[in-house]
Amino acid sequence: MKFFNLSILAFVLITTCIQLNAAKPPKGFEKVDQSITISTLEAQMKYDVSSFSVTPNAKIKVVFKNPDSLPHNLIFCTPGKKKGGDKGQEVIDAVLKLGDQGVKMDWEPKGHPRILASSGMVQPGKEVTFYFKTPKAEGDYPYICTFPGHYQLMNGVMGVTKKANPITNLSYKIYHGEWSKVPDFSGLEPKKTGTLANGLFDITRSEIKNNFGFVFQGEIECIKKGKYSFTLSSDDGSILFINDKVVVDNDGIHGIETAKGSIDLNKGKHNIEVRYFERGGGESLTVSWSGPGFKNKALSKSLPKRGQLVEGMLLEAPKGEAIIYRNFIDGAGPRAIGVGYHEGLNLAFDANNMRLAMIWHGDFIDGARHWIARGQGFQPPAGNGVVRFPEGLAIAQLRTQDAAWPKSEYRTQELEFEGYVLDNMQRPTFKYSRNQVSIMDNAIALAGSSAEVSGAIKRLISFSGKEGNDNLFFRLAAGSFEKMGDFYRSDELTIQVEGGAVFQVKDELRVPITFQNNKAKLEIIYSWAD
Amino acid sequence: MKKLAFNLLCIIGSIIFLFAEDQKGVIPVESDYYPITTIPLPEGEVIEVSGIDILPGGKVAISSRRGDIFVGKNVLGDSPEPKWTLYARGLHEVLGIAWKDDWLYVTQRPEVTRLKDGDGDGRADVFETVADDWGINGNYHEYAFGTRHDKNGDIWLVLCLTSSGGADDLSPFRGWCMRVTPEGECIPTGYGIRSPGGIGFNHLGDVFYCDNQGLWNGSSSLKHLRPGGFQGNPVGNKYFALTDVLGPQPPEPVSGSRIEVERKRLPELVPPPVVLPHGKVGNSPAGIECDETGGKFGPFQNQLFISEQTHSKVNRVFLEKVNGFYQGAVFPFLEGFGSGNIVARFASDGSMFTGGTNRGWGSRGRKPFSFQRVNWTGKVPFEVHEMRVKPDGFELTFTQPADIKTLSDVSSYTIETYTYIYQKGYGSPEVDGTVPVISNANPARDGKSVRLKVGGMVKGHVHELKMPGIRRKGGEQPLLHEVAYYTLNEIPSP
Repeated sequence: MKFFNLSILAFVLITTCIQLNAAKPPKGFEKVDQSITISTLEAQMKYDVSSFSVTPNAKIKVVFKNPDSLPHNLIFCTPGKKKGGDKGQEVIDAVLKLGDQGVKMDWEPKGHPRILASSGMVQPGKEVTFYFKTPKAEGDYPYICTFPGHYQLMNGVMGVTKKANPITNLSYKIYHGEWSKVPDFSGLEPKKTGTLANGLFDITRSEIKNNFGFVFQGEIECIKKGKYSFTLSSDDGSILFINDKVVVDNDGIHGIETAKGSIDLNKGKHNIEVRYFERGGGESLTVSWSGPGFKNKALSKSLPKRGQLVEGMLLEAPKGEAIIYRNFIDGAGPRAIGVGYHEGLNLAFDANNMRLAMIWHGDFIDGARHWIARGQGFQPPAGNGVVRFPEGLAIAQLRTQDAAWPKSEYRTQELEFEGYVLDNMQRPTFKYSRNQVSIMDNAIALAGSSAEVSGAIKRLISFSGKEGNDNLFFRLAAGSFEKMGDFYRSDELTIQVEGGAVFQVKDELRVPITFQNNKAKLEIIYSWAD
Repeated sequence: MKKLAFNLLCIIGSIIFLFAEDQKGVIPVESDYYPITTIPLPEGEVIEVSGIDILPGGKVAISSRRGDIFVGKNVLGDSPEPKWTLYARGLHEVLGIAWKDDWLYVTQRPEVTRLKDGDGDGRADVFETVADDWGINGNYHEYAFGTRHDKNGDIWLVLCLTSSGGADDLSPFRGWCMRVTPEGECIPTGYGIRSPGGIGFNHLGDVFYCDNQGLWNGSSSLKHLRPGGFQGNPVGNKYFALTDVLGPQPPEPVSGSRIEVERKRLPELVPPPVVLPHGKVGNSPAGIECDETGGKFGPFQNQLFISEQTHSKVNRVFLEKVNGFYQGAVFPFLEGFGSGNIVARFASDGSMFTGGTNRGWGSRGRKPFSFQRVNWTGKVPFEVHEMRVKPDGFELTFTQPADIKTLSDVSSYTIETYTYIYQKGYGSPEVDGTVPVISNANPARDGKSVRLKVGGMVKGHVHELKMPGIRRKGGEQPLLHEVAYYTLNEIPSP
């Protein structure tokens, strides 16, 4: 028992607590590891931050603002016997014992073993900055206002964790039910709710192993404006939202699968929400993010596992050149040839079916999936505005122009891939053939006129052949297209074609391949319908 | 007192003796004969070397698992300061490159492709698909390893199964050997392959590959790709439905049997010429390279050098043909490489280039990837040169004369035999162990060879021979490597 008291004393001594009203930090705190601003909310008897996380043994600067019309303080407490779950009850008990002395002592039982740091009483409309060093021990550290009657509403938890992260106010709701995809939780009654002071997404709070779901909501702080990407790995499904917009969709029943998405965010705090469900079998949820100047920071207790992690080795076209990536590309098959153009546009060619499989803009592709460990699986494009073209053949012989297009096969026997040649900017012209017809398929990127315009992919396909090439057609795209002058436009794409009269059959856009002197030519410009 | 003085004298004597030996270098080590030189790679590049070939003008080309190809100059000097240029990027996990008539032939996952630098700027600009009559489905295990050109101009391929033991309908010919002709024809040439780590020729142009321990492979082994031959794993036999080049689909082996038993039933089953006992000589055999340097690499002309990924070393194989089948012995050769060796290639000056990676499969060498060179110092190591089977035992030859007395002493040797279960499951322990008796050791007068009379040799077994007692002529020096593993598939008639 004696030892216990001594250790508390030592703890208090080690934990330097300095209270200062002046802006100038005390010695040793000129440079801090983390700053946090906590404000009271007017007439609500609440702090605006209900949880945040810090690393152990870190120098912290706290700015405490009090725009309310009552005086408040902000006192950080040690976890106590209830591991932070008691809102610093023993400190409150000590405040009550102050009795008549309470007002004079600003309702603060100074020297109480559970007090870690204090703002002192802050009058309405004032603010205070104070500094302290966080403890070495990880855990949940409650903070409260000790003004009588306030603490029950004015409280929060500081999570001390080595994995401290920028998520504040992270709460969770647990639901029970059997789903095959992430349900609409809004109409359901949560079985349990709580706060995750460490700011880490964590499904271990569930008391059952199957048929449950989670909704996590918090705020994530971006210290810079820029592009942020999130990696969400789960068993079963999960979806990540930023500011109510889906950024990563990893939904469905599956083993541990990883998905990634990115979003441009301004400096400041943004709402982050993760919805998750588990049906049966194993359960897991790991989340990480990358942004300007950092990569793969965990937002859950562990990072998405090595081998499942699909980011961190972004491939970029060298200046003035294109870059080629032949690998398993999601959306373009196992024999895909990805091409990243330095203009910031990209495509993937499916050499199993001789078709343009996808175009997208922004980042090209991440090599990490295939370059870490054994390299299993298909890697999706890294960028945005992914437009996918129909699977199967792009060139087919039809009895009539509106005949059904041949069914797609895993790998066509009708066309043969013959390779490619690179121009002096390393841009490929694909070569393939169909019976007696040789095809040269060249694509180049046309940069957008400004940073906001995505640009276009210009494709020139030349056919040369001798015989048996009647009734050949080229399938341009599938979807709901509208003719607008020279263009065909869908909600994601505009297509402009020279060399043949485009026509629509059901939801397909086709063009005949018309030979003259054994030659035919199509020029196609693909641009994004912004 | 007298006795004590004598003892002291003895002790002093032995110290002097030891000291003297020490000055001579006492027990030699591998690097006294075959030092390893690390060749710097271009900074900032990750080149998990997966293919090496020699180009005209003393240049070397290396390919990487990431699919890049670099060409280096000045790689042969004592302290090489190579100049690297990027030849090609972005190919699909290249596992074999071969230079021929200004084209670089590349075996990548889905195809054999030939590359050419048409405009002379040092970078390939023409990529022509030569052959692609097999499939891939997105599984990492579906590797394709390719050789250089054989004397007919063909490239030989071995195609890994889907994952470690499947054969997907979407990816035809997994587990098969293909021959790609100069015209681009792709001829199914063998089947029964599980998980190759490399492929290569012997000096006669016969083709071998290494298959790794796993399903239907009790241990890893060196296998001979006899045209039409069955290599032991029946999972890929389903693709007989796609070709009649090799006749009708053969019956399957019985799981839990022995190769020696099954080969009587399945005449196409080619017994592995040299079992590479799992855990003893390595865990993951890979590339195969034959010493045709005409003595520039030392005394092992026409022997095979097998890269070993897990143990980061190179083993040596001697092969002979008995009753029409290749068989022989594996010996440890050289260890201590930087990463997991998967490929080796001799240059015309007798240098052996080695390349390695440990991504996905760990290696003793801790570097994630390496490109190195082994050179012979000109000093001949004291080694077993060849191990041949005789009707009643073995004949060993040595690279240096051995001490006759130790050669003729049967207690200089120990021998044991074992085999592995031939089964559907993964790997096998060593089973059916026996201990034959060496009844006589008859050395040649010059000490360069010895005939061992062995009672109780077992057909189909690995014969693990240790020779701890043999000393070099005129000294105390033991063999640099005192163990040999001979796979006895055939015993010659007297």
